Amino acid sequence: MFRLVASLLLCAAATAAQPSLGPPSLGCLRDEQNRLRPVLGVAANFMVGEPWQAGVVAAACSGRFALVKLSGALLLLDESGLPLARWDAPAGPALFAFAAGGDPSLVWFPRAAALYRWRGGLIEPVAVQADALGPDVTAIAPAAGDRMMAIMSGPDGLWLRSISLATGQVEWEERVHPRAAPALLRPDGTLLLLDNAELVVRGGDSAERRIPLPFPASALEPLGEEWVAVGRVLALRLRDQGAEIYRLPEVGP
Amino acid sequence: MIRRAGWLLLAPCCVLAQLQLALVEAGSERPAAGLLDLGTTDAGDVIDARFRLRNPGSAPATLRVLSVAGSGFTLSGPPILPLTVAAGHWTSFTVRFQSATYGLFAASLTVNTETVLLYTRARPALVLYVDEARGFRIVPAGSAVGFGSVERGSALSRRFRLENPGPTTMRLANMTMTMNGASWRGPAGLELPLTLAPQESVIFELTFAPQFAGPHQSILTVENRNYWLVAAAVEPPFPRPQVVLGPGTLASGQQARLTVRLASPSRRAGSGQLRLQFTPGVPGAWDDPAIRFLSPAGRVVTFTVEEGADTARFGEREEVEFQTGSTAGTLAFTVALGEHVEPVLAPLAPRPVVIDSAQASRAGGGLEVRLTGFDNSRSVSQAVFTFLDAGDRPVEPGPIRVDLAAEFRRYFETSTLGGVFAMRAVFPVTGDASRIAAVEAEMTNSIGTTRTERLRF
Repeated sequence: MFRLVASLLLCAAATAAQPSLGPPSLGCLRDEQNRLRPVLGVAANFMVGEPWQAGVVAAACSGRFALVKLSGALLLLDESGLPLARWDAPAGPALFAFAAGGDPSLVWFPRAAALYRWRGGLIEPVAVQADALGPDVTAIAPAAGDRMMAIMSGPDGLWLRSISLATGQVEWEERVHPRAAPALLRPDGTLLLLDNAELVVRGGDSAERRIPLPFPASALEPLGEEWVAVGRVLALRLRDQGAEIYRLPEVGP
Repeated sequence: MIRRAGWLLLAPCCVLAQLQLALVEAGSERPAAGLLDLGTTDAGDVIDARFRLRNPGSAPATLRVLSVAGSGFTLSGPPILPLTVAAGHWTSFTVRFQSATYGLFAASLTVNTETVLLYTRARPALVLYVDEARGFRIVPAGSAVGFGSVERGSALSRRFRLENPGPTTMRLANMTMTMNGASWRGPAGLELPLTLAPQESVIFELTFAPQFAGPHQSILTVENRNYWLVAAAVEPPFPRPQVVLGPGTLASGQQARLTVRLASPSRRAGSGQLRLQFTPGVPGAWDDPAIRFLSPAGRVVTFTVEEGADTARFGEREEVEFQTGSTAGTLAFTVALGEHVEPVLAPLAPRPVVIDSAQASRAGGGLEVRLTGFDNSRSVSQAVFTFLDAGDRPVEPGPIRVDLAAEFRRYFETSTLGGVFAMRAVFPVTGDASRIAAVEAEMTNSIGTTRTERLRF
């Protein structure tokens, strides 16, 4: 990091800017061999780096942090892949959610039916009603007012469910898609789901945008702050101006 | 009938000076002297009589004269004269007989000063000829006719003539050719059975049309006489490939596509290789790891060409995607297919800084601006930040200029990621920072200046 001498006068106060330079990090993704790798560069200029972690059962990246589920542990990594914290975790997969800004927010262990939240830098269990969450949960996200949202997948489609973190009870739910499909909830409440060869983006106002995909995909994973990995092949950037789709470099064995 | 009847009769002695002449039959030697019967064959066919000249003496003997005179008789592979045969050693040669007609034939075989009369008989038979550059040539039974080398998918025909040299009409009921795949066709130009009057002939064609590459052979059977047909098939050459870059001019910071087009539909299937090389146009830059094909990732990809196709395939697709990276220079695509190696160059011009992502946020009591992008000329010199109040009026003291040349130079010297960068500038504020509502940033390199949109805090 370097300091530059620049002054910003505001209310008669002199200030100094402190720029720092580094490689741009977009986030991270889990490769086909279940290794977590950083994704560096900028849009259309992706570089997938050497693995940070092997034996990954589940992972999600916000750009600032990565949450990594190993067979018996949960890791919190910084944007460089360095471990910040480690907790024992139940066996099986996990679902993660980040808050707006990229801080870790929620983790759901479906096999143990255990929900945890980060609050004040600490992780703590959340008691939820037995049927509020279950093995059919495919995505979770924090919501305003001490709530969380969950996407439930069933034979009758995808359901968006609001759950109070204070009471652990389901507050409401609505069907958002007539068929089961891979889905992802963004911290801002945007729902992404895969519908055949299209990506459906459903905003908070329930308006849907359909984005044709160049390849069929079967999974959605958080890649970074603005980025979603679509089937580990495509990188989707969601911005106010619209969605951009790029191809990710293939990762070798 | 006797042609060139024997006019020489010598003493029935098999000693020719110091050299003894013998006919080699089934591996054993039979003394050859006086009159020697070489056997009977069919008209057109060949008799090869192998002779051996031994030197039984204790001193070297010299062979100075070796000749055969008589219609249909030739020396095959004679030694170079004069030839000295060491004591106890021997040399050999072959007298070949072949006649297009029937009858009794004789010839004199002269070895130094001695002569032996050779004679043989040729029975009437159909004689096969093949058309060659210098006319028709007799094809003896059991010998081979070469069709040369032919590209798979094309065809070569050769003309043959079947002649009756005999005194009576001859009938041909059976002419077959063993098939090797579907590579041989014929005979064309004649219908069986056929009869040939004396001295009459018929012309027909055999065609070699290989369906696969490699050596080929067939056996042409004319009644009970066999002839080998031999040929080789080679794959046709690939058409010339050409790299066709996607529409528009290539620039840094792109994911682009290319196809490999062929000058004509390929007459063969196969595979080729496409190589991507990058020559930086920026001093100090050695490479850019983002410049690569995307699937499979790397600088080299293979492709396939199907027979009849005029475009190469990369897996299931007819195009391959690549990234142009973040460094100015020249991309070189080299496509190799068969004998062809075709390069295409694509310049990546230096351009102003590209800002891919810009964010403004409040950090504690200060303000933070994050700019992510790339500088493909690696020549960033300065950034300018203009802070605005809620009415979009510049805040005193106005634009803040920051000299970044040295910092960026140091960063690019150590970065291995090309021209990409993430810059985070924190502006501590003394006073009421909430009065600052937005910021505009611009970055300047040797090519020009790039401005962000207005970034709201």
